This record gives sequence, structure tokens and C-alpha cells, in this order.
Amino acid sequence: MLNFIIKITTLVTLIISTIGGIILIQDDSEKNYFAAITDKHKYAQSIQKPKIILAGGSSLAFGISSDSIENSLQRPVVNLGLYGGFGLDFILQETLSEVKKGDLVILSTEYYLKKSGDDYSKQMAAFAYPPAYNYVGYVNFLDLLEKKASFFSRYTRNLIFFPNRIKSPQVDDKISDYFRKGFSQKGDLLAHLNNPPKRPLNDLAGIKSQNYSVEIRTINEFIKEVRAKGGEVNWYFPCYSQTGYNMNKEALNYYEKQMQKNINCLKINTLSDGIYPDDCFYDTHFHLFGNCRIERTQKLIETIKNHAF
Amino acid sequence: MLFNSIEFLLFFPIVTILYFVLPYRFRWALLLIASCYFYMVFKPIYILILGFTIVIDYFAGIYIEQSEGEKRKFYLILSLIANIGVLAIFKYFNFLNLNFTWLLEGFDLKNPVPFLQILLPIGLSFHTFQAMSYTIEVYRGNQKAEHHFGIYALYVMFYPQLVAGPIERPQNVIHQFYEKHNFDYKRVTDGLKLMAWGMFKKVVIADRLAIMVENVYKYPYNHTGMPLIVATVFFSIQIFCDFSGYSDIALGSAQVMGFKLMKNFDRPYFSKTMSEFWRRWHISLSSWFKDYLYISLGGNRVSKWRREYNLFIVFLVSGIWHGASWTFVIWGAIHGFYLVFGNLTVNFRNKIVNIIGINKFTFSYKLIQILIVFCLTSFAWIFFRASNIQEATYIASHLFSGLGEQLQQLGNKEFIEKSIFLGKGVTNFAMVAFAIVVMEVVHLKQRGKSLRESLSRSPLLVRWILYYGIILAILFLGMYDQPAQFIYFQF
Repeated sequence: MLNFIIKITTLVTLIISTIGGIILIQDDSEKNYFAAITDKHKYAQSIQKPKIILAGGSSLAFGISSDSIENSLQRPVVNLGLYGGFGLDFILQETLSEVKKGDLVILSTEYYLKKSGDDYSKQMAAFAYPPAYNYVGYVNFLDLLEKKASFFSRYTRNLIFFPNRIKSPQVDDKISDYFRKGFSQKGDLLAHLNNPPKRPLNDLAGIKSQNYSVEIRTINEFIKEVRAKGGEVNWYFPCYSQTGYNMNKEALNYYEKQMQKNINCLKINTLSDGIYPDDCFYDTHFHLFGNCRIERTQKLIETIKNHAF
Repeated sequence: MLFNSIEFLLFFPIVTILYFVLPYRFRWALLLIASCYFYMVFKPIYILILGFTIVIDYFAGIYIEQSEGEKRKFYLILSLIANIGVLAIFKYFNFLNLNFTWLLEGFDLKNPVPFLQILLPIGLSFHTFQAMSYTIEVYRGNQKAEHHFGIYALYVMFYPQLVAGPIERPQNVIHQFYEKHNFDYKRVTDGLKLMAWGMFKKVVIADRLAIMVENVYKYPYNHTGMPLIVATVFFSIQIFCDFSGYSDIALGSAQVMGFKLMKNFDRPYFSKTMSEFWRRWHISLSSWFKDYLYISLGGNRVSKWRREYNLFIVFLVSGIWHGASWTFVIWGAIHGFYLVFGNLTVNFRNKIVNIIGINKFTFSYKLIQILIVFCLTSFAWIFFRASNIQEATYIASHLFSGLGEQLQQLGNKEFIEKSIFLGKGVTNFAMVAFAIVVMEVVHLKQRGKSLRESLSRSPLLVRWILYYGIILAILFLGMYDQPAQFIYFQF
């Protein structure tokens, strides 16, 4: 039996070493899109004055200029928006961790609203930014083990089979988009701004007309906690393409109705304010770019001026 | 608990180590507790259903053995009614009620019988059939009644085969619970190899194919021709890898502890006739139906037409066993038809082959036979996989629609992505194709010999490279987005 134990231990060690070795050698922490979470939080933590926190999904990362907001409102801005697939729980908890007295949170979750989110992306973000492990939401020890094991096998596989095809992505090149260094210091993605738009647009999915009471409850809890910390939350409907809106009109209108009625904070825009022609979008139906990004930012600045300050 | 879950990855070594560490007299109790836990992970309350049939069958076995004449029959029937009754309530009640509703609606009447709001207990058909084989064998005098309640309960609940078989016979298993199994290096490593192989088939092939097949079978009306054919062929491979993968893990995990369970698959897609296919596919179920239904209906000792009728009935029941839906009934009927038609035309077909002068022993002739059997089984799988009869009929009737035009588009990248890769990309396709090639090479090497035997005679370095390779393949090529259930769990 000892012989067996030695051999099994050797094999397991060999496998773990292989996975560890691949992750170390193929290290993509400088290029990985999700790793940008580290820089965003680092920047948020460096701001001492009351700030504006943009919280939500990738529509904020792609489609807002924090510099313009900061310059116009003379208030520091950090854009935490990275990926809507993290889920509501993750996004709200990571936002809450950065809220200080006097902060204003502009909350703009995507229409594909899910409470728990996608495990792999959450794990990826937490791998890059360990405090985020607190927001992943493990049910128990076994769940933690399963999610971590699944993450490391998938991550290693991705490093082997789907490595970043661009060896050295740059903000000003014309092909790179999803990578860590493609973000500004404040957390806006800039890498896509030079690139030609991608057609056809991706991620046009049907949105179900559903009851969001669980999500609304979670958001209202978040609002309470932000207020307890001395901050305030404004609800901001995200941008979406005209085609996406037309396709999901009924579900989206129902969504808006529920949010307008039940979210316990100031709603600073309406759903229709965020609908833009398809030409305004870069690669998906919610990633704005070019002039439309600037236009949306200006609208947001005016809105904040009118409502919040 | 799923074999492809982290829980099992912890459960299995803990139970196995405890099994070898504990004194022999406590081992049955350990296995029984472990099996209860294994089952209760799905839905704890359903252990009561298992408990009910175990108690009934345990006493039925003893009373059958102690009684004579009609009384023996009475206890057997009582046991069968209890088992079939549980199946009828939990698996077939809503199906029967639904059909009853349709029937009444035909006469503008309302069905007053409510539908049951219950989930199907996992693996119900498997452990019920295993329990029934016990009382039947005791009745037939082939098995002594088991007086140790714990051992009998373990016979029904032994975790490796509890939820998806193989459906064992008491003669093969019960005595093994009394045997003292010591740690045997070769047996343990052989079992682990079989488990790894089963896992490879499940997570690398079956689960990858599953997402591709789902893309087409979820919205079949969006497709015609090529994607329907590709998805159907993929499903044939998926279900084989899924179920035989499960069986390999079951056999392997039992083998590690020293138990030998019956083989459930023997490279069925290399069959040259449909009857051969059924001798090599889900062997434990086929032999169950043969031993307990086909033979009870008269077996081969009846007239030719009666025999074929019996055969058809057996396959119809086999279809119903798989699921409470008309699609499964049709699937069973198709296979029944294949076999009956095959039997009735065998002489005629042989004559034609002789007249044409085809040499039956050539490789190409055998290959054509294998391909025909594969096509026939794949066609039948349409009814097994589709959500309902309408969708199955649509798929079956549109397999060749527009195929001519589609074949001309084979150089078109977008067409290949949609119709061959089924929307899941070239990398996913390449991974699964590679894994299938590996599996088929293994299958070809397995002809007439044990690959594990040959492997154990290979140089150490070769063996280690293979072990290392298969584990990395499971880790890197496997699908872990959501731990997928085994298809046969639902039965």
C-alpha cells in the first residue's frame, strides 16, 4: 500500500506542478481583461476625497469617459464597471468595499441582470485581485473547492489553447481591445476607441420578461448599506442598441417599470435615454464607442448636475 | 452525488481508505452508510422510497424461501406489485394521467384526477429492477434468501451502481459482500484506470458533445439537413460516452474495493447486426429483460410469430422503462421493429448476398454492416433525445432536406461553423474529435484482449506518460462549466 501511496502522491504532485507551471510560465496577469479589477480598486483606494463611483457592467467600462465627468464636476471619479456577468452580488459587494463618506455611486447594472453571475469570470477576477474572493459567494467548503478546481483547470486550458492572440496589446493599436492595460487610470476602457467597429454586433440575446423582486431587494439592501457609510446611490439605466431594445421591448419596459417603482434611490435617467443606434456600438449591443460614448458621458454629466448636485 | 463532482472526488478516497482500514466485520455497515449518503445528496427524502422497497423485498425473499406452492407465488407477486407500484406512482402516474386527460378531452370531459407534484427519484428504474431480480431469483431457487438485512440493503444500495446500474443479479453480488477484500495493488490501480477512462469519456467527449447537440435539439425547427444529421450522430456518440463512462466509473470504483460488477458495454457501435448491438449495449438491462420478461413470455420455445411478437413487446417495455413519454415508447418500438424485421428477413437477405456473390468475410462488408447498424441506432436515438414527438418527427423527416445544396457549401466557413461545429467553434470541435479518435484507437486495441493487461506490461515511463496524459486531458479538455448529470440518471 505504501508503494501505491507514494505513486499516487507523485502523480498528484506532478499534475499540480504542471498546472502551477503553466500558470506561472504563461502568466497573463498583465494582459487579462478581468485583471483590470486590481487597478480599478487600487485607484479607488487611493482617492481620499468624496468621489463618484461608477458601478455596473462592461457598458460602463466601454461607454463612459470618467475624465470628462471629473473635469466637469470637479470631483474624482473611478469606473469600477468591468463585466456584467460577475452578477449583482459580486458587483454590489466590490462597490460597497470602496464606498466612503460623501461618495456618490452611479449604479448601472446590465439588462442581463443575474444575482449570482458566472463563476469562471468571478474566480478569474478574484485570482487577480484576491480581496474579491469575498464577493464570489461560496455556499460551503465543497462549493469553494469545486469552483476553485474548476477555475484552475479551465484557466490553464485557456492559457494553453486560447492564449491572447496579440502578444503585446497596446492602447493605441487598431486591433487590441479586451486587456488589462487597455484601461485608463480611472477605469475606462480606452483600447477599443482606436479600433474599427466589429460587425455584426455580438451578444444579442433575448431578455425574459420576469419578476426582479429578488434583485431589487438586493439592490435596496445595497443602497441602505451605502447610506449607512455616508454615501448615496443614483440609479442609471445602461446603454443598449436600438435592435436589442426593439427585440426585447416588452421585457425591458417591464424591467424599467419594476426598477422605477421599487428601487429606493434617485433614478437619474430613463431606459429610453440609454438607447442608441446600432452604429454607436463597438462589438456588442451594449459597448458604446466613438462620439456616442462622448454624447452619453455628456448626458450623464448634465443629469448628475441636475439631479445629484 | 455525481461521479464527476468534487464531492465524489473527496467521498471516494475517504470511503475507500476507511473500507480497507476498518475491520472486516464493519465494512458492510460502512458501505451501507456511504451508499445512503451518496443517494441522499440528491434528495434525502427519497431514501424512504428505497427503504420501503428494501423492507418489502427483504421479507418477501425470506417468506418465498420458507413457503411452498401458491404461497411462494403470492409473496413474489406481492414483492413485484410493491416494486412496480413504486415505479408506477413516481415514474408513470403523471404520464398515464396525462394520456387519460387527452382521452377524456376527446369526449369533452374533464379529468378529475390531479397530477402529482413530485420529482422522479433518481435511478428509480435501476434499483427497482435490481430489487426485483432478487425476489425472482429467490423464487426460482437460484439464490438463497438473504437473512442479513444490512447486506440485502447493500445489495440494492451499493453506491457505485445505485443510480445508473449495472443492474446486478443477486448471485453475482451478494456473496461478494461476505468476502474479505484486502488491498491489492494491481486490482486497485486497474480500478482507478477504469475510472479515469470513464471520466475521460464523460467529461471530455460526452459533455462537449452535449452542448453541441443541445444547440440543435433545443431549436430543431431552425435546422434542416446537415446540422440535424451531425447533431444526431453526435448524440449517438454522446450517449454512449455518457452511459459507458458512468458504467466504467461504477465498475472501477467497485473494483478498487474488490467488487466485481458485470460489464455493461462491449464496444456496441462495432456491432454488425441489431441483435449483436443489444448484446453489447446496456448489457445488464438487455439481459434483465431477456431473463425475466422474454423468457417468462415463452422465450424461444414458442412459435416463430409468437417469438417475434414477444421480442417486440420486450423492446416496447424497454422503451417505457427508459422514460414516461411517448418518445421513449417509439424508440423502443423502432428497436423492436429492427429486430423483428431483421429476424424475419435474415434468410432472404442471406440469399441475396449469396446470389450477388458478396464475400461476407471481407473487411469492407463488415464495415458496411457496422455503418448500417450505427445509422439505424442513430435514427432511433432521435426519438430518445427529442423533447417531444413533434420535434422528433420534424428531425426525422428533415434529415435530408436541403442536403444537396448544403453539401455544395462545405467550403464555406460560416456553414461549417453552423452545421458541422454546431455553433461551438473549431477548438471545441477539434478537442472532441481528438478525444473520439483516442477512444476509437483504444476500442480497436481492446479487440479480444484487455488493454489494461497490456498496459501493465508496458515500460514504466510509457505507463506514466499515459496516466499523466489522460489526467491532463480530463482536466484541460473536460467541460466544467456546469457539472453535467449523466443522461441515464433520469431513469
